[in-house]
Amino acid sequence: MARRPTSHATSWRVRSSAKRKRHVARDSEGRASLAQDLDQGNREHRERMLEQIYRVIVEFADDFGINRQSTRRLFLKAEKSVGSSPYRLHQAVHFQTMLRISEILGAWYREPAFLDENGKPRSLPLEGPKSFESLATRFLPRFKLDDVVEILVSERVLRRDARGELIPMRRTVIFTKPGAMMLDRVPVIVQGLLSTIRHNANTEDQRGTRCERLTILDRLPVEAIPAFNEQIKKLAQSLLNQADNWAMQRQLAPASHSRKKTVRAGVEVFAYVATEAFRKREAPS
Amino acid sequence: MSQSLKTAVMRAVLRLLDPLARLLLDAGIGIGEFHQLAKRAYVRAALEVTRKERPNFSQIGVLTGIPRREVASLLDNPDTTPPDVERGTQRAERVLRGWWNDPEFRDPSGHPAILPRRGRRGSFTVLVNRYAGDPRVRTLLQELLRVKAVRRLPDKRLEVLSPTFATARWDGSGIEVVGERVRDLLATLVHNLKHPSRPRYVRFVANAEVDPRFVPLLMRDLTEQAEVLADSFEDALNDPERTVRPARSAQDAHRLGVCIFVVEEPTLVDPVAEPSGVTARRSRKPG
Repeated sequence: MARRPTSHATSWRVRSSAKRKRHVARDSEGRASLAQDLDQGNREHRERMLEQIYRVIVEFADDFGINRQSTRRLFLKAEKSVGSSPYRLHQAVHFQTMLRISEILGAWYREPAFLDENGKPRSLPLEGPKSFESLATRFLPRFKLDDVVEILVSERVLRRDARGELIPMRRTVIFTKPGAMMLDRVPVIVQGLLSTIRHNANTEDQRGTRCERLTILDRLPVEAIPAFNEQIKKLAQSLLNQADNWAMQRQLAPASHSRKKTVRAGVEVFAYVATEAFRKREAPS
Repeated sequence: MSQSLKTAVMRAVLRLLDPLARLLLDAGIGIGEFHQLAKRAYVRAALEVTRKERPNFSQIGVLTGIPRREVASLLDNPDTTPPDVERGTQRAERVLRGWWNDPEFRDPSGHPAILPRRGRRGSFTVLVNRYAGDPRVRTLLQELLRVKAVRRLPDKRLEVLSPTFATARWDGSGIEVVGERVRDLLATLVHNLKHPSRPRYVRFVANAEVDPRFVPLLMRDLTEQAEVLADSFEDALNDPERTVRPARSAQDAHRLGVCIFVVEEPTLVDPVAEPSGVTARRSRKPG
């Protein structure tokens, strides 16, 4: 049976002699298991990891109204297809559309023709030279202009000003409604995270590993959560801007005829908050 | 000091004097008054160099080239008190930061809300208590009103105007801030010249050939990134755990800070010299 992780909580209660001896024995087991934990995990550890990932996925499916029967059927379907067609990014067609939309915003925030004298994105007329149409047809040529505008305005990515011109409300595209694009993004994120963990686990040389960093704030007051979210969004935007600036001088131009092999690389930043109810649900049984 | 080093110092001082002379001209201060200020600064510097309990007028006179009697007169009216431009600055900065960033103090459109002076939620008093950690709400408000970072509306509610307390206004405190910042920068640069083995961090990054079309974009990105960086420094530097709390007796402490600023001025990129032979090749007709 899988061993529970060693607790980091400190107990200050004074114990009886017998209890103290049992506690000392448990402590030394704990120290031994910590040494094992640092070593390469065995089959038991790996299976435990997988079982917990499945648990997270089943909980996630519950939250999206997918019943257990459908979850099981979809799992079997995925299991059958993984050999013949493993998951690849190009399958996330709706996510590709989302990337094109983020390129529209990227150009709007980066190209001087679309910026005012303060570096803020100009409001653009729907049609004409230097219009929203010129941006939309560049990155989403197969979509109807009115549809693109309607979706982006309803998702509060864009807004119309008093003159009816369009103006972006933020620099990044995040859809709050669980629509096709948002849902298609989830496996992309999970696959990206797992591929980084797998790569790092298989890489001996530290210099060859990919970035994977985590900070945990254990005692954040609940009333500070809105400020925490704001702060992390600001820090993340700064980090992503810096990554973009770094990449701009190194990426090959879109129409480049270079024979250099290229890859798609990315950075995803997210914050999470484990509320009390969520913590109880995630506590091991 | 060798002649070449002296020449380098004089060139550096001349560069330094360019913006200073512009400031003095704008303020209506002529060369005579500047000369008096320079003499005062020379005497103060010489006093620091000689480091004697009782000033030796003759020695200072020899060092500075100022007559002994004038040295005595300048030392009689020392005017050495530094302007207290940092009084309350950190507290005020923290309050302004909370007003612009904390969702509780923003309106539904995401802009800083107009706040009532008092109230149990979303008021200026709550804001000050949360971010300044100081019960002197009135004093802080007066400071913010004075530097025009905040204004009082006819209905007595308060509107925030500036995201920062660091004013660059053409008034007494704005000009004093200029003096302090330039002094800080010079002190760090001179320290590094004198102590190259333990320098303080200085880094200057610039491109004198930026396409003017990209200036607004770069200004925006530099400002946004600097803001994030400055906020992180502010959190690290003003952590109460790392700050000496006042006690009955004086305690040793350090003034530690970081200054980030943007430079901008128009330049010209020289034309490329046309290589010889190009004209001849261009003029050659095909066929």
